[in-house]
Amino acid sequence: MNRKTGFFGKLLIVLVLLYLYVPIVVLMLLSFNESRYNSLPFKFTTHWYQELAADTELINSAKNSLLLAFLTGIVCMILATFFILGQRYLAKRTQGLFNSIVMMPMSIPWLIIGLSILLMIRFMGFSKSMFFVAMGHIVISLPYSLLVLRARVSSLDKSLEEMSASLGASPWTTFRRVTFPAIAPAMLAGGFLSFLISFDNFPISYFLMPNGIFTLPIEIQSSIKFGFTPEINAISTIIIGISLVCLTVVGLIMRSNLKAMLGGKD
Amino acid sequence: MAKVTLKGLTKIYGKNTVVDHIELTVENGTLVSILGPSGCGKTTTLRMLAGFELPDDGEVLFDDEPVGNVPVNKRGIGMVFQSYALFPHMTVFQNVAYGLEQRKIPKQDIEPQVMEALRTVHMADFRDRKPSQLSGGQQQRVALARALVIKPRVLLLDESLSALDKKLRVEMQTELRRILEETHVTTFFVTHDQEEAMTLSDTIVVMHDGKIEQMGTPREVYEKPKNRFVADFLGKANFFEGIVTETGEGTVTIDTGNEKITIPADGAEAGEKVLYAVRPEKVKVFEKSEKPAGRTGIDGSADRFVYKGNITTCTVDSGSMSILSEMNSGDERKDAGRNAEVFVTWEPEDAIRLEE
Repeated sequence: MNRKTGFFGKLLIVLVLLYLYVPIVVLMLLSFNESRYNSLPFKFTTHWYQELAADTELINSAKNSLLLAFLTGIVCMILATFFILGQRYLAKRTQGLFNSIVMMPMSIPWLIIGLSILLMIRFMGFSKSMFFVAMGHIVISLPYSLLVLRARVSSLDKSLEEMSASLGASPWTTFRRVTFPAIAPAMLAGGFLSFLISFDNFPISYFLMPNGIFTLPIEIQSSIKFGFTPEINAISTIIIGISLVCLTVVGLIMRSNLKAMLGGKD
Repeated sequence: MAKVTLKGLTKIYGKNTVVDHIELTVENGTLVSILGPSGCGKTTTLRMLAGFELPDDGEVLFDDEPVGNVPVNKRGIGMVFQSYALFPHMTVFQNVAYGLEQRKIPKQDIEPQVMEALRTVHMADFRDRKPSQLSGGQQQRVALARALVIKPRVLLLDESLSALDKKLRVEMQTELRRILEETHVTTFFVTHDQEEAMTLSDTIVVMHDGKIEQMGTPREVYEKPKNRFVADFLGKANFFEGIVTETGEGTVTIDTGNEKITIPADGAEAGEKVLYAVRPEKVKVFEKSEKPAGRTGIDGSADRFVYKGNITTCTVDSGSMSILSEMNSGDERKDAGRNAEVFVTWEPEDAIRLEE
C-alpha cells in the first residue's frame, strides 16, 4: 500500500469517527451550558442537573426504564443460557430450526413486533400492563444475549463437561464447577447487552405501556415535543456516562476472568 | 479394576452402522488397544464404554454386571481425552482433586491422595500451576493422574498420546506402561498408531468398518494376520493372490490372472483360491550373480536402495508386480546399484496365508 492511500484511509477513519461522536460530545457539552436555547457563548453551569433532580416525572420514567431493563437483562441472561446449553443436545436440523425461531425478532422491525403484541393483547381481552411491556422487551432483547453466549459456548470444549461427568460429577455439579465458570463472563455480557437494548427501546414501550406510565425514551420524546430543554441534554449525558461505566466494568470482568482462566501468564 | 465384556455392541447413526455387533471380553488388568483407521468405530466404542453414547443394540458389562443404566458419573471410569480436557480455571492440584471431591472423600484425605498421584506421574512440583502454564507432555501426565487418582474400574484413553511430538510420545508410552503395570487397571486405549498399539498393549483389537477384524497379542496380530486389512494396516506387506495351479516342496504356483508365478509358500492345494502376505523384512534380495541355487523366488530389477538409518528398503519390479523389501542396514552392504538385476526370495513359512 502506498503512502497516499494510507493517508486517505486514515482521513476516512477520522471523518467517520467525527461523524459518530461529535454530536454526542456536543450534547454533553451543552448540558453544562447556561443558555436555555443551546446557544453560544458557552458558560459553565450545573443548573440543568439541579433542575433534573427536581423533575420527578423524568426521574420516575428513568426508574421505570431501569427496572424494566434490569428485569429484561436478567431474564434474557437466564433464558439464553438455558437455550444455548440445551440446544446442543438436539439434532443438527432441529437446532437450526430453533435458532431461526428465537433469532427472528432481530430481523422484524420493532414497530411491527410492538404493534402485533398490542393487537394480540387486545384480541385476548387483556389491558396494557407492565407485564406485557417486559414480555415485549424480552422478545426483542433475547437474540442479543443469545449471540454473545453462542459465540462463547461454541468455542467451549464439550470434553470438559464429559470429563467432569467421568470423574463422578452430577450434571448440576458439572454446570456449577465447569460450565458456569467458563461461560459466566459471556452470560454477564449478554445480559448487559439485553439490558441496554431494553433501556434504549422506544417502539415496544410506546405501544404497550399502560396510559400514564412512561419509560425514559418515551418521556424524552414527549418532552421534545414541547421544546428541547438542556435538561434532556443532562439526562442524556447521565445515560451515556452510566453506559460507559457499565461497559468498562463488563470489559474488566471479562478480561480478568479470562486471565484467571488462563493462569495469568504475565 | 474390572473384567469388561461387550455383547453385540452396536451403534447406528442414521443409515450408518458405526459399530456393528462387537463381541469382546477383556480380563481384569489387561491393556487393550483398539486400533483402526479413522471412522472405524473405535472412538464410538470407547464412548459407549464410558456411557457418553448409548448403544442401539447389545450391552456393556463390567464384572458381568450390565452397566447400560448406569450414567457416566456412576460408572467408575477414568478417562483421558486427546485434548486432555484439563479444567482451565483450576490448578493442577484442583484438577486432580476434582474426582475425589465428587466421591465425598474427607478433605484431609484428599491432599495425600492427590500428591501421591502427582508423584506417580512426576508432576508433584507443579501442583499450583494452571494447565496453560504446562507443556503438552505435562498436561498429559496431569490428565492421567486425574483419571487414576479415583481408582477407576476401567481406564479409557482416547488417542491420548497423539497430540504429543514423537520423542515425547515414546517417552510417555514407556511411562504409561510403567504406571499401568503399577496400578493394574483394566485399560482401553484407542489409537490409529500401530506402533503405539504394539508398544503398549497386552491385546490388540483391530477394527474396520465397525467390526473387529482380529484380536490377539501384538505378536499374533502382526505375525499371523487373518486378512488383507489387518496385514496391511499393521505394518507393510506384499500380497500374492490367485488360483493355485500346482504345489511343490515349499513352493506354490499361483495363477494371478495375468501370469503364473511360483513363490516360496506352504499350506495350499491345487485349485484353491489363495491370498498370501509376505512382510517386507522377510524378503531377501540377491544380486543375480549371487542367486542361490535351487531356491524359488522372483526375478526383477531393483529400482533403488533407500538407506533409512536402521533399515534399507528397496522395491523390486518383476514386470507385473512390485515387491518391497526391508533389510537390516547393519547387515553386509546390499546396495546393488540402480536398476540392478536381482532375485528376491523368502522362507516358505514367511508367506502368511490370509483368509480373503
